[in-house]
This record gives sequence, structure tokens and C-alpha cells, in this order.
Amino acid sequence: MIGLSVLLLAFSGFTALCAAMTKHQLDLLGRRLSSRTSLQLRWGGGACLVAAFALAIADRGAAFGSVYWTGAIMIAALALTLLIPYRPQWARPAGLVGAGSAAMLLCAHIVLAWSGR
Amino acid sequence: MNGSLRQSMAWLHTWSGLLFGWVLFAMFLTGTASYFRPEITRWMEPETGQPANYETAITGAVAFLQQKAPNAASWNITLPDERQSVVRVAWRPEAKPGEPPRQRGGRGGRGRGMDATLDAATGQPVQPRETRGGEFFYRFHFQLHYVPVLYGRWLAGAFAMFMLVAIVSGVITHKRIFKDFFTFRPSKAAQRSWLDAHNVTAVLALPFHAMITYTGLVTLMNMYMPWPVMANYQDSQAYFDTLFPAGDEVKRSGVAAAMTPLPAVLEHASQTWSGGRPWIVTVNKPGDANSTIEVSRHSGDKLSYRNGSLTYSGVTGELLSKSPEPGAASTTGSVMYGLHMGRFAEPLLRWIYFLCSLAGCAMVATGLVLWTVKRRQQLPDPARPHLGFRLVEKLNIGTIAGVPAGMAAMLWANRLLPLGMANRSQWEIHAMFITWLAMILYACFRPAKQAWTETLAAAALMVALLPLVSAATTQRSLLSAAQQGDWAMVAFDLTLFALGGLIGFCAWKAARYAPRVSAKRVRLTEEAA
Repeated sequence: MIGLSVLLLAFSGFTALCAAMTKHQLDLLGRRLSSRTSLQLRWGGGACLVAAFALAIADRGAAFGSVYWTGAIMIAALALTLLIPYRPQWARPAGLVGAGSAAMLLCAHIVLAWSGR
Repeated sequence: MNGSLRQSMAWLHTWSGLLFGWVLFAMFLTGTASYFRPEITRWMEPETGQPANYETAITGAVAFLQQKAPNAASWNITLPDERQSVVRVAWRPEAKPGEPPRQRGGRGGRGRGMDATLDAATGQPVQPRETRGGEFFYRFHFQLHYVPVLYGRWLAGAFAMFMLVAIVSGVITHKRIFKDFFTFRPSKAAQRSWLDAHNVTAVLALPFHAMITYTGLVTLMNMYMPWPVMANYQDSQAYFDTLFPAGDEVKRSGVAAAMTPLPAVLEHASQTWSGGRPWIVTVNKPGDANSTIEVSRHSGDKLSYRNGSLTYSGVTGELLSKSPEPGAASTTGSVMYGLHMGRFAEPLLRWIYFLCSLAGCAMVATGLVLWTVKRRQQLPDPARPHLGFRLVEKLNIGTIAGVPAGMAAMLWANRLLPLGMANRSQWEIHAMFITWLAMILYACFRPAKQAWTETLAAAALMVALLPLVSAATTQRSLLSAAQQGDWAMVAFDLTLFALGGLIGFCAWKAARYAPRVSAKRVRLTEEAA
């Protein structure tokens, strides 16, 4: 479950980083963003990737966690890059859904761990 | 090969990629398959059962060995994990007087008739059809075939070194590596689209590609760069003895003693390792008062591939010694080996490894195609290309379609070859190379577009029909596996359908391919007319 959260967070992170690039904004969002919004997206995307890393380490330990995170970000980036030319309009909702699902999965995991105690 | 650094690197990248690309594609694809080596072996040995845990397996293995080889010098038991359904046992007879004492390493009794395959759950010998199984793809990808093993490893190592050169030169020459990070435009002109595809599959999975190539070379580093060992040790045997101390040879006392129950020993080992798993169990001088039991830890318990062993008394079951902690350099090498093998990966990570490795195959394939796409535009007469171009084009088609078709052909042969046939496992392997060669020859006799479409379509069918062939020729089918809860085999058949679909999709795209001719090209052609 945490593994899936890491993957989804990585996907959302990359979607944000991609949307922060002027090159992709027209495809993804249908319009250009201000440089301030782009900067926010860049920070937000980076934060998602860092959060994914922290989650992976917390769940699997430093060694397995960092290997898993590296794998997850590669797959997430590939998935996004294949999505953009074929269904660019899905990218933004996918990014938001990804972040939301990751949060929900994390909460579910915490609740289960707490109640199992 | 002149001009700026980027231009030099571009030249180096093109040539190291092109000259070695076809074999590298085969190495990459068979390596990709190797992440599911036990599953492929299980699929190719449908006579075996389902995976069972090691506690069950050890009881059956010991009972078999006690009945078969009670006076052996040593027993060797390779326990299954949750992915294997067999225990592999081997035994070594007592050395006759005058014979040299046993050598370190070697394969014990394996391959000389002193080994057996047992069902993990029942301990009964199983007689699976004669096949190399997934082991073949694994061995091929680092030692090739049809050449002596040592030469094969040298060749594969040379190819891998050029792969490393291609990766590094590719990164240096890719000026827009961050700007073009997410850039994939399949609907642009051919050269641009293929270059995008090559960039994307290479850059986005770059951590994997760099890791796999470098760690692959490291696992055979003592062969490729033997000079540090030669400079610091008497001989390589002294080096290995330092790295992996053997402990003293167990001497037979002549006093018979009952063996301690092994399940308890394994349980103790697992607890000592905080829940780790035993993998290989070696019993020295079974049935003797001096006998010892050496339990090696599963190589997937940690990132490091070599995780030490514990030695127990064979009579009392008490822990006698642990293998010494390896030093930092040794651990670094073992971790690199472990990263390459990915044995520690749980299913989700294992699929990530598999997909990244497939991306690596796509990287090599798109690179090879890109070469012809780019050169085709520069041909003075596109209808009559020069020999070098034709050679590359035929080899591209024959390899990119032929290697997957060949791997599928091996699985077809596994199902269709008569069970009692002589050299059956060798002929399964011949089927792979005959198919690959046939695809190359077919590509020589068809125009490029038809050749691509037809070979890819053939490969797609060969892969996708495998589950049906399996259902028709054996007891094992997708449905029967689902009924028995054998989800690994269900996933295997479904993956075959998916991979067949993927190749079929490529065939479909090839059939529809109508290259956009750039305006410059049209003008040149008109001027020439």
C-alpha cells in the first residue's frame, strides 16, 4: 500500500514539474501560466518527490527504500511522458487524483496500523 | 570524429551503439526475462508443483538424501523460496584414498548424476521434461551460446563495456537533457519522433541503465580486470580463500551419530538472522559424529547478494561459528551484484525492474532504427541504398522482431518437442537461434516496410499464442492455474498475452507507416529529376 502511495506521489510530483515547464503548459493545461505559478508548481512537484522518498525510506528502510524510490520515479516519469502525446488533457486530473489517492492510502495505512496495535 | 566534445561524443555514441546494438538487444531482452527466471523455469517444467516453504522442503530433502546417499562426503540442498516449487539436491561421494581432497567451489555432484530435483511440498523426486528453463536466458545474457563459456563471458563483457561507452557518450551529447525531459512527439517527422523515443526511454530510466551496465561488469570484474588480484595475491585461489574463508575440512571420525533434525537448525538460523531466510544447506560428513551443517543466507534478504552463513554441529544442532563479516570493499561489490540481480525485490519492485529493463530494450531498438531513419533521408537514391545501409536495415528487422520471436520459439519447442527426445534441452535452444536467423533471412527478401510488418506480426502471434499452446499440450493452462490458485502462472500467461499485444501494436503501426517527407527532401528530389 505504501509502495503504491510512493508511485502515485512520484507521478503527481512529475506532473507538477512538467506543468511548470512553459514547453508543456499549453498541452497539459490549455494555457500559459504566470512565472510565479510555474515556480510554485516546481516547488510543489519537488516536494512531492521528496515526500515520496521520505515515505519509501520510512516504510522499507534506507537501503530498500532508496532503491524502491528510484524505481518508482523512473516508472512514474515514463508513464507521464507516454500519457502527454496521447491524452494530454488527462495529465492534470491524473496528477491531482494521484496526489489525492496517495494521501488516502497513507491515511488508510496509518489507521490500520493504529487499530492493529 | 572531430569538432567539439559533443560532436565527438555523438560520433562515439553512434558507432558504439550501432556496431554492438544487435547483440546488446539480445542480451538486454534475455536479461529482462531473467527477472522472472524461476517463473519461466516453472512454466517450462509443468510437471512440477507449486511453491512450498523451506520448512516443508527440508524434511523431504533430508529424507531423500538419507535414503539415497547416507555415506556421502557432503550433501548440498538448495532450498526453494516462494517462487520455486522444487528443491535441488546434490551429493558428493567420499574421495577415494589417493585422490586429492575436495576443491573449493565447483559444482559438487551436480551434472555428474549425483543430483536430483525434488518436489518442494512432498520431497518426492520429480522428472520434469529435459529443459534448461529460465536458466538459459539468464546464462545467455552474460555468456552467450555456441561459444565456450569463458569466451562467451569475454565477448559479452566487451559488448557491455561498449554499452557503458554508449550510455556515457549519450548523456554528454544530449544537450537538451533537461529541457527535453518529458518530450515525446510521435506525430512529428520520422527522425524527430524516433529520436524523441530514444531519448525518453534512455533518459527517464537512466538510473536503471547506468546501474545495470556498470554492476553487470562488476559481477565479472575479476575476469575483466584481473591485475589487482594478480598484483596482490599468489594466485586467484589464494584471493578467493581470503575473501570467502572455507574453514577447516571436516574430518570423518568414524563414529556414527544420528543427525539433528534440520527444521530446528533452520529455525535457529532464521532467528539469528532476525527473520532471514536460509537458502543453501550443506551437510558435511552426514551421519558422522563430526558432521557439520552450513546454512547460507538467502541472497535476497539484503541488497548485498552474499549474506554469509552459519555453521552448526550436525549432531547437537548447536551453533559452532558464523562466517566472518565482510569488509567494506567486499560489501560494496556484493551490493552491486545484488542490485544487478534484484533478488531482494518484492513483486512490485520486481515489476519495476522488468519495465525499466524493457525500456532499455526499447532504447536499444529505437537507437538502431533511428540510424536507418536518419541515413535514409541522406541517401542519394532512396530506392537503391548502399550495402551498409541495407545490412543495418535487415539486421534491425531480423533482430528486433527475431529475438522476441526466438525466445517465444524456445517456449513453443518446450511444449511441442517429444519428451523422450535426445538432446531435448539443446534443441529448445536451437529453436531460438534458428528462428532468429530465419527472421534475418526473411528480412533480406522483403522490402523494408513489409518485412517490419510481417516479422513483427509473426513475433506477436508466436508470443500471444503460447498460453493456448500450453493449454493444448499440458495439464497447465491459464484456467487450471487460476483454479489451483497458482497466481504466478496466471500472471505469466497474462503477461504473454500483453507482450504479444504490444508487439502486435508495433506491427500495426509498421503497416500504417506513411513517412512524412520533409519539404527539403521534396525539393532535392525535384532538382535531381
